[in-house]
Amino acid sequence: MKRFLRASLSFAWLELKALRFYPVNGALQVVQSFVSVGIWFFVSLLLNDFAAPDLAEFGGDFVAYMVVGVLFFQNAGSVLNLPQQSLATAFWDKRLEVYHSQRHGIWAYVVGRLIWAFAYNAVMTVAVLVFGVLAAGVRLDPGLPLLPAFGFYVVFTLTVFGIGLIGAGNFFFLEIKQGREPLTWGVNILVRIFSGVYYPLSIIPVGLRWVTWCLPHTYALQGVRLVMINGAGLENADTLRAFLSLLAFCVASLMAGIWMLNRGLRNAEAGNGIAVVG
Amino acid sequence: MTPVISVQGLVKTFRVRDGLLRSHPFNAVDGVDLDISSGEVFGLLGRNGAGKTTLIKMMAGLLRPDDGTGRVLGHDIYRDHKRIRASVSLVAPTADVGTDNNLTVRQNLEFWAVVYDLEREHRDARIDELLTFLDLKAYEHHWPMSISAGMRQRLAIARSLLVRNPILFLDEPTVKLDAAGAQAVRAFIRKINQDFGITIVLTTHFIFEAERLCDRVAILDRGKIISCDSVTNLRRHLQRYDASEIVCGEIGEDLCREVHGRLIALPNVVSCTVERDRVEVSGDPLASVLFDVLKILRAHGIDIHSVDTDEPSLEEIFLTTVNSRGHV
Amino acid sequence: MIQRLRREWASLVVFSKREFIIWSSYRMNAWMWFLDVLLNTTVVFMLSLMTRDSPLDFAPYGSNYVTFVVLGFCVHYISWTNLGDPFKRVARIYWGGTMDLFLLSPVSYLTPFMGIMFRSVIDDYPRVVLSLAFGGVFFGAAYSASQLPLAVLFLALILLSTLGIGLISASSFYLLNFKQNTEPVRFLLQDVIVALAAGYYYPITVLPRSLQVLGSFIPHTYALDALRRLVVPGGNLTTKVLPLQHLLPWTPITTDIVVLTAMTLIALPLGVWMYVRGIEKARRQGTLTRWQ
Repeated sequence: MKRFLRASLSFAWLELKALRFYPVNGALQVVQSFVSVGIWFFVSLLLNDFAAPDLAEFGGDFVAYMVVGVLFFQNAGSVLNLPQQSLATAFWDKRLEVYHSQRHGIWAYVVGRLIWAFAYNAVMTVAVLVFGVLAAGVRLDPGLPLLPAFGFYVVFTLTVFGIGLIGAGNFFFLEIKQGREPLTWGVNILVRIFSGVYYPLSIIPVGLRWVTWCLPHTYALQGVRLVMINGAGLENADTLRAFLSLLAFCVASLMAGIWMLNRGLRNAEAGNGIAVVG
Repeated sequence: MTPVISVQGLVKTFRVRDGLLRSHPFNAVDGVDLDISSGEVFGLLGRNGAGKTTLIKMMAGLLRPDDGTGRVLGHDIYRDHKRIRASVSLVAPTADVGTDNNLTVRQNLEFWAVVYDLEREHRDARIDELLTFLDLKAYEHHWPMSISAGMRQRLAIARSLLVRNPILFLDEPTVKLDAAGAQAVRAFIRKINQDFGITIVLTTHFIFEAERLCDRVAILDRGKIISCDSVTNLRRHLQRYDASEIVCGEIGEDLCREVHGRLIALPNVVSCTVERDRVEVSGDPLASVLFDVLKILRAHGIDIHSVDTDEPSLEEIFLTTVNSRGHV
Repeated sequence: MIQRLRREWASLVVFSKREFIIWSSYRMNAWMWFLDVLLNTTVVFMLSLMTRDSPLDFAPYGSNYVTFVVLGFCVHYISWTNLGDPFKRVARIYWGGTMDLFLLSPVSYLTPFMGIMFRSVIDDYPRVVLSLAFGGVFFGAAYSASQLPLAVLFLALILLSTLGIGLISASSFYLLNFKQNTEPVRFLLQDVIVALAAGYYYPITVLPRSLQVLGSFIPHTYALDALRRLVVPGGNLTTKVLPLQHLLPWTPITTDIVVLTAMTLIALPLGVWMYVRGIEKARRQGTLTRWQ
């Protein structure tokens, strides 16, 4: 385990090195994070008064609701696509077989990139929220409990990582070596419409709300909003319910994802192989 | 006859970064003079980084020289670079450059035929001709990634021949191919030159390839041409002559001296050694003396067991020439 | 001259054909492309449901939020191709090693670049029509056709002005040697200023004054202002909104036309000139392709 962690950290360190080699890229990525949340911040300013009645649970504060939701959704999006994109990048750079042939296989590489994404997203989340609170007047609970917030962040990240791994299995099963992977794309679509990223859940037609409760993002966003806007910790029943539901999704998605990717790798080894031919 | 390519004192300097803000100049081509005749297969031989690609890009009008003069097909390389580019063809070292994997072999050629402005009425016939000529007809509806690298390189050559430009630059055309693929491509290079009369300028770091294909070879090292001649003349210049080792029956000491005297007196014999059971003789050319040498030995009652000839290879010439400039 | 134009046109057509073959060979992507537009419009519609009880007043842009944002999508899709794509296409030509081959052909410097851009044109221009259609058919968007010719003029101006900026962006690949890094012109304009200050999702009056002033420097602001006044039912042609409209004595639409035309007349020739200069610089430096 220690060796695996060390190998994964090496890959994470490579990502950091890439950022230091192209510092302009890193700076622009940071700016982009702020801008994409900023767009929705302004949308929420426009519609705040209209959304207030549907957000009594959060004190009618659509701005905080939107900012927290979009921020965590973006983080989740980057992790969701990470496994498949990692495989695709390494494949086309002709590194995938090299990674696969080392002791820990592709896993050290993928987990390494996850570690980097986790750390980077955590820093960006804090930075954007601090900026939002100090410069843009976003209202978060001043005594928000950090441990539950961090707990939601960790479990949510691992959940979408698991789903991403399932999608990454399609890299080999469906030979999707370029373009978008359909499973993660499909999840993204459903989440954007049904998980309350951009609007209150009460807007969603009653007949379709069952879709909402099938998505882990719903519980994650609900929980993280309760923690950050209302300051509710795990002693709050709603928060606890959201956390436990998310945890269940996390376990299921990780197990399924690990199985799928391993299966995909075995399929590839038996078939066309892992590398680019020629 | 006016050469199709004539360059004098060509220089190309790149700036190489050696710090965040520091850089130093590096002469990739450092004063090259070259004349290439029409219909010739001309080789540029050199190690990696010798300046071969930089030189042909300047001759093809893709790279502007920093100094020197030159004309390609009568066009000035500074003022008329667009005309030069329109009159030459080029094949890159990587077969996949310019080949679209989403188009079939034939579709790739159809695409480039339009871009290269081949007249519509000639397109199909020309494509068919090239596919047949380069043995790709059976694969015309295949995807490029499903054919071998050698075939993809032939596809690249076919693309370069869509418009029959008088000069074809081939930059290390076999470097990424296996032995069979490389051999096939070399055969086609010769065929292109013989059948179409196209002047071919070929860069390679495979010495045997230059030896087999080229009428003349220029050895390039650190941006300068250090030798330029036919392979035969390069050998002569190096004073490395063809030699023969004849293993024979025992020769007594007195007979050794007598035979040596007879052999060294022969015209075209450059050097000669007669030992107890072997005779070594080199000649310029060897073919003109070998028969007489064997006659003399037989006349002296010496049994001949075997005759081996040894041509100094272009590799020896190359290494000797380059090493004499201080490389190891 | 005629022959040359015919040749350039034939090459553009064959590039377009090639790009279409490539685009359509990824069938899954084609479906995703279609559904993406539907999804974006759905999200906007859902947002608009929050205003179901009390209509939103976007004066002078009417009150239909879906129409308001759908028009934003139209400009966004055009800009995404024309402004955002050129740099990536030049990079693709560079990394693919094909710039040398294109220069060895008789076509102009611009033709291969525009030909390769066709992939994005296929991808994004039809989304304009799809957005309008989805909005109208499924999500209650309403459009006024009374000023259609003027609306088309503004679409043409935004198309040309963003193409000019896109060419400036593309030229930085060679002129400023932005080979590995994200290209800052495109990033700053497209991903920061346009994203925040053009007002795709909201009228720019929501923005702080500083961002509104920043938005005055991009053509999108004027195109969106004009299109929304002209196409959204209830759009008002006289009320001034943009900072520059307040400064100048003309009507808002006149200000929009003048500014957009000026931006086009500056950006397009400048972009072409810089792009050609970039190629010539690369030819001098030996950086046309990665094959060196």
